[in-house]
Amino acid sequence: MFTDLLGFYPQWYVPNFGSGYVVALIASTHVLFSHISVGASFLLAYLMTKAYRGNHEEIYDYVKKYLFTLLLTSYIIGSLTGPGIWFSTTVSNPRGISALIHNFVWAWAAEWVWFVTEVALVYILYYIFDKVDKKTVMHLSWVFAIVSWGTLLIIVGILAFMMSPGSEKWFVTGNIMDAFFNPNYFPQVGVRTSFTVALAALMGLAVATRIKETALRQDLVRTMSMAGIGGLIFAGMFMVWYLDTLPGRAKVTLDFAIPPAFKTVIFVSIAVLALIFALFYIWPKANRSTAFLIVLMVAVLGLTIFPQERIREWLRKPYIAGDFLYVNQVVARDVPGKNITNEIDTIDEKGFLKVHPFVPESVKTITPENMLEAGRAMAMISCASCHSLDEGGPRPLVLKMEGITRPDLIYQFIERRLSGDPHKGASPYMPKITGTDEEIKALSYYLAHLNYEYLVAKQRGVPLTEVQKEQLEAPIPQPELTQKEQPQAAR
Amino acid sequence: MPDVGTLLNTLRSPSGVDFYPVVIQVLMVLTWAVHMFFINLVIGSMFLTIYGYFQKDLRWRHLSQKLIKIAIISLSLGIVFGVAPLLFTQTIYDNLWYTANNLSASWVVTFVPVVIVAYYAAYFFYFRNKDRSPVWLGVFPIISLLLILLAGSIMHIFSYQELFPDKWIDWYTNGGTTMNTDGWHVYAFSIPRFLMFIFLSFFVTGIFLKGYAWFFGKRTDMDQDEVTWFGTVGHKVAIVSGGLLIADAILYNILQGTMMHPVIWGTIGFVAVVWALLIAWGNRKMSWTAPTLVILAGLSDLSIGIMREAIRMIELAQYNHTIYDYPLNMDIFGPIFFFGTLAVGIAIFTFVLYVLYKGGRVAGVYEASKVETANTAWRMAWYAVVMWLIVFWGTGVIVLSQLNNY
Repeated sequence: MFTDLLGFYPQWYVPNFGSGYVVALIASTHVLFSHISVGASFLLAYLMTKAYRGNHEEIYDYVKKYLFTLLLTSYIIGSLTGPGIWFSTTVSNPRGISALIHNFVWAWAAEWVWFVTEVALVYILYYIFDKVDKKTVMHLSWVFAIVSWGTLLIIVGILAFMMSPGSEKWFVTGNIMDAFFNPNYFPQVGVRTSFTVALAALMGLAVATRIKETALRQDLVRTMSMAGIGGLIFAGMFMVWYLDTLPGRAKVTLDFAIPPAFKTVIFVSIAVLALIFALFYIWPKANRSTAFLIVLMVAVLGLTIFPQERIREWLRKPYIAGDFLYVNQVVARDVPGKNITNEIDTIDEKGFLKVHPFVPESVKTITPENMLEAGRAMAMISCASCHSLDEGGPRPLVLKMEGITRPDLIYQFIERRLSGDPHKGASPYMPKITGTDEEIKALSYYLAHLNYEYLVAKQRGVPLTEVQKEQLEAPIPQPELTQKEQPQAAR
Repeated sequence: MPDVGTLLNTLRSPSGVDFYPVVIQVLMVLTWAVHMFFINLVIGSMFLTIYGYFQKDLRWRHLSQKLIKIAIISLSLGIVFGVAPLLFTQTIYDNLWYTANNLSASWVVTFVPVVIVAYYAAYFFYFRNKDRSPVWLGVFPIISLLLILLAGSIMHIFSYQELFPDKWIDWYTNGGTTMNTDGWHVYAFSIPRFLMFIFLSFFVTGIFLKGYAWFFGKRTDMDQDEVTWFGTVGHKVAIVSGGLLIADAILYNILQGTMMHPVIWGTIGFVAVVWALLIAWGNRKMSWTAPTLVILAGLSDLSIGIMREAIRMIELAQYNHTIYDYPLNMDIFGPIFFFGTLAVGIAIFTFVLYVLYKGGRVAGVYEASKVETANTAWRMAWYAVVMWLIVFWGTGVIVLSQLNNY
């Protein structure tokens, strides 16, 4: 009886916020601090070399201050939010992170080697800075730079695969290297590496405000500003290459589905950042306020990194990883190289509620009595990964459907828009709906109720339109199930 | 309700694993032991730093200052070493890990902010913990310790809930009637199991302090009476906690129903031998006893790690489930990538640890660049790193050049 189960895990749902936003918040924070540490490692190795070769004792104080700042920021928040991404994806999309883990366990293990080395080195550098001769510290700083970059070099392979394997090769071979080195890899390394330098320069400006000696401070401000401008220019150049390597569907989504405001905010925030770097280069005395630079970093987090992470997530759709796993965790195609078979046919035949181990027995078989409950379970396992079932949170379903309370209209909408067939009007970034006809009817029925409740709530605050009033006055007709006669729906 | 064995197999990744599960299992247990060693140091040091801070004896205040520094560094190392077992457990025990986590999902995402706040509270205390700092400052390590214990409890919940696959569906669906999607439910908690790790923390930290006294025993710029006293405190702490650890480990395994298994006997027996050696060797100043005990303390963590893994395997065997039959899609490029990188990492650590060891035992600046051994180690490390970059990118270029064939 239960041999048709598929490997779905318990579903987690965060009302009015969404599990996706939890991941996005943690991931964006991690990007800021981990990128700063990578870029800083190179800037510090450069400064250590400059100080050692030119006998500039005064620079050592700055390097040590910067290392201390890294210890207090990147190596607390950055170090913890890294595994934090695993934790949050574990509970928001367990099959998505599992797919990546099972493809890249050894790549991640290699990254872990660099991560351990990097963290050990930053502590060692700081605590033995004055205990060991400076030539050795300079040597250590270069190793620190390379291993720090090594973590980025490896994680980018996994991120690039998430966007797309880039060809049919990996699907056939299942080989980790074919997944890792895909067309999106090198341009993304270029973008991220350049951006790390710009972010580290921003942090470097903040640390420079703590240097009392005027000439040294101004020299450091110029160095950091130049690094910042260079980082942004190179990041922009690599971005052109990066965009060119995106899969076709992602380009369509980028051009037509992503609100222009997102792109504008990123562009403007980077332009402003470049202007600030230029201003500090021309007038280094202006770099006085640590608070201003902290605000600037928060602004970069909110206006550059967060929207960029959101766009990247958007471009991957309808997949969560590797062009084979839908965002709602259904395996969407065969991967012969890994002996993976698509699950759509099984789910369409047996039913999503039936094959999901953690759907309660009470709704596995749909009846007129449990249709609403079954519809909610369907919404939870099919839609809630990306869509809020409440008014707040990401892409709320009630706002998407503008208060439609007729299940038949919703059913038609789902059947066309989520058909997976562009000729029927399917959205390129939405997964194909999976489940039996009865389950989709139950889902429609539940969504109609959801919309009804939304309209009732809205009526309390804002007057409804005539159409909405009509919808509220009409009963919600229960969809007909194939086997049983339907009683009149009750409210 | 589905058969538990079927459920466990169904919840495995359709990708299978790409190398022998036993290798991943060994790496998981080994890295967990290192992770736990540092976490033990965090918890033990935090307890003792708080105790020391509220004592009138200035030596205790000095010990408190040393221990908070050890706690901070150990927390960082504990976190980075924790990443590896987390990775490996997701690979071979994905069915257990993802389910147990999602049953209490909200607690999972609470973990990271809890540790971040604990970290900053500990740092604040570290900066201000001086000989004459005020009593109220002691609130910060207390907050930090409580949060770390909360984080430990959260981890404990996942590990422990993993052991009850027969109850998962009932737990999540309230007996088949609903879906507990909020993630705030905690379905299982074992106080004896949790306490085992706390006692282990005191045991490891106590022995570590003996090692500390040995390592800095030749530093002319340090108060040697005080350093010796630190070792004495550690010795007492380790003796008391070692006894409690053994008793609690027996109690937990009796309650779990795993006590009669020979592996469990062996692991508890090993810890008992370490404890007996600790008592037998006393607080004598033989140069080799302290570092030997530190190694044995690390092996005690490994022993508890093996016990933990054995309990999991015993529990799963009830359902005829074992990781050794995880579907295998062999792909040797992954392990080559990892072990190659590990070799480079070892080359780096050889250089770094040599400098640390030599530099740490002498007063003043250590001129490592003028020591031939250190220079040789540096060159090997640097060449290894550069070679890694060349091989890594070379592989990338070759792989990408063949894409058009598909």
